[in-house]
Amino acid sequence: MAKNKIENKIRQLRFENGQMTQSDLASKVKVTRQTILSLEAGRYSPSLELAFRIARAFQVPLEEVFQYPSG
Amino acid sequence: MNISAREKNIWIEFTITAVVSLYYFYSSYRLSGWTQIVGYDMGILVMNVIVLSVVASIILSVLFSRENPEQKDERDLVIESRGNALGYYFLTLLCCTLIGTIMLSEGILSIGETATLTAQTSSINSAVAMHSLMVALLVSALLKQATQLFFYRRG
Repeated sequence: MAKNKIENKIRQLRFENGQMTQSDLASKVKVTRQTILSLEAGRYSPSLELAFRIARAFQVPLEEVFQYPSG
Repeated sequence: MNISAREKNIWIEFTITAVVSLYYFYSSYRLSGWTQIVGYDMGILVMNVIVLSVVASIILSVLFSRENPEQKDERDLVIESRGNALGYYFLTLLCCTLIGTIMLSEGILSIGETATLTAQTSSINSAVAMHSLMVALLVSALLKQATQLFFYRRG
């Protein structure tokens, strides 16, 4: 899976939410820790459903977690 | 090495497939040189291959305490489908190549000529065709597992 253009602030949001671990987030959104690791590294683009679940886990709008820069 | 239970299971499957492939091709070459089938001995060889697969699976499971991986998530499914796709393309390619080779060797494509598929006239006999199909099956299985491992290792 090549680097994609979708950027995210999952790592930053984890630390802003009480130093949430990757495992904690993974169990909250029902994926494996490796998937969270790949997402943070920008090697995997989540499905729309997973993106919404992650945003909901941080209680923020989707666009605060994921960005798709133009160009 | 940080390795998930699912990845570990794929490594075990990959190792078993590789060992069984090596055993099958080495034994069948020693048996018949890949050009003719010796009925009884080939039957024994196929039985040995099945027994070897089961024994290797048990030994590796015990050695590496095969774990029950957690439920597949969407990334696991994406990686699995990529492996399946590549394995399937390779299998299709090898099967089409084999069919094409048989057709060419039989002169089936010759215009205005009558061609018959017989073991006596064919340069590709049933033993070679069978080994070629085994190559296609085993290599595509290895390719599928190797693709999955590649994507898991990339993270």
